[in-house]
Amino acid sequence: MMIPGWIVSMLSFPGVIVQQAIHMLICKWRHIPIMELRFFQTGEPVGCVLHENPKDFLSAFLVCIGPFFVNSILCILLCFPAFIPILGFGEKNPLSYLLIYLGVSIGMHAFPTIRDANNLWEHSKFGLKKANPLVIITFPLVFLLYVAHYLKIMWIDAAYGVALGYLLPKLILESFA
Amino acid sequence: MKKIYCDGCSKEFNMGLMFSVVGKRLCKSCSNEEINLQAQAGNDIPQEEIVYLTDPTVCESCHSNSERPLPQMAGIHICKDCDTLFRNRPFPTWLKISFVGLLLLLFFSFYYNYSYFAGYIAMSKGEKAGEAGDFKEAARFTETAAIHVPGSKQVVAAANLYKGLDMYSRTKYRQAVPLLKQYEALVPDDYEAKCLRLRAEAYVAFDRSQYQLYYEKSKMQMEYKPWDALVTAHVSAALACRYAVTGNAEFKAKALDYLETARKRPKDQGEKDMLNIYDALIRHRLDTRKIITTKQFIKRFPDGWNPVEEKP
Repeated sequence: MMIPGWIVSMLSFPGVIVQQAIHMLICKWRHIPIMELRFFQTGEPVGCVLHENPKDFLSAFLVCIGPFFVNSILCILLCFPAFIPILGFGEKNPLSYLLIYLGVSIGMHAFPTIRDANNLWEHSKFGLKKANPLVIITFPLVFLLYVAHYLKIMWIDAAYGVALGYLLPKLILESFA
Repeated sequence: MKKIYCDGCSKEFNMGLMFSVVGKRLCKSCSNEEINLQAQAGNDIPQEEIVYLTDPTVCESCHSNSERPLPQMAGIHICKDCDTLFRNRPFPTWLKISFVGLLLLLFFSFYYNYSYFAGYIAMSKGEKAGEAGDFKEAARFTETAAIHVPGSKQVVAAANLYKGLDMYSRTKYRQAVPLLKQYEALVPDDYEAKCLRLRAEAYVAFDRSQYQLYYEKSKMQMEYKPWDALVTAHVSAALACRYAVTGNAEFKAKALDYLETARKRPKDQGEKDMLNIYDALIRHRLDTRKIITTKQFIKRFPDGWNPVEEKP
């Protein structure tokens, strides 16, 4: 049975809010005007930050990729210490479960939107003409973002959140063992 | 607010209430008429050619009026106030509070879980040392882990086990027994540990010359490991002690029976070598009725024992 995406997004609402918050933060940092802001709402999209198109490549890059890195780092920071009592000692700690829920839901919403990926693609083409070194990694990155967008139907974003939040701490802990 | 004339009926309307239909600026009713006319003529007008006209003097965000055309931002006309808001949009208070809450939660998580992390590292090192046979180091690390995570049954059990193994390996059987008992209380299904504790108790009894108890503890090991060659040999050794003290021939016969059974059970060369020593020790005990420890026996007879060399 297919679970509608908006239900999954509602269940993982902390991730939606954090993604929009980071998006907003980067827009303010890069002086990009924000026309509309929805941290969370019922229906599609569950969250959005409507902003002016970034004027330069670096801004477009940060707006697109920034939330990905920040959400991923937050996911790891929240989940790793929380998993130690569970994986290392088998202790069922409510605080740990709360942190893991927050971490995985934030990790799930790390992927940029297709709109940001499109913006970045357009800027990449101009960036290439100006021989911007960041462009070298941007082209394959944008390709991966498009693939990830279409794989969302197969829960790639949830898999990413779980991989970061659960598998990575497990691997790290096992490396100590 | 800007007013313009409809290309259809030539009446004046607010620009924001009019449409652009295939390039013509029409009011609502004229727009509908035009669309119907085109449809009757078989020309379907594409969706993108029917758009609202935007009044450049009306802010598309707050709908405030202006005398002059407003500047554009991202293709929409906005007033100065909206422009300022869009450029300096503040973070909502609830978001700031939530962010602070998240940071506090993160710090608390690191503080609270640090002891688990330190305990996990110590425990891992202890288990590695234990697997390598360094029970002293294993005991040290698991004790450290138990300090970090005192509530963990798993860690406390490991600390007791490795301390017990350390004492046992240094032949400090009296200190080993209570530690192994504490481990057993936490992990009752570990039969190897049970056997080890019984063996340590047997050795304590031997040290105290309590040979009846030595025999009983050795026999109890067989309930958990009936097939084990060395456990069977221990029973034989205990019976030999009882014979040495009492002179009861029944004990001698049983000791020899158990020894014979033990000789059929070794699973590797290491056990065979150990059994050879036990065999010689037990026969020495039976022949001479002298009770010496295995260590003393090896020291006294490094090349093996010859019955004719020692008279009872």
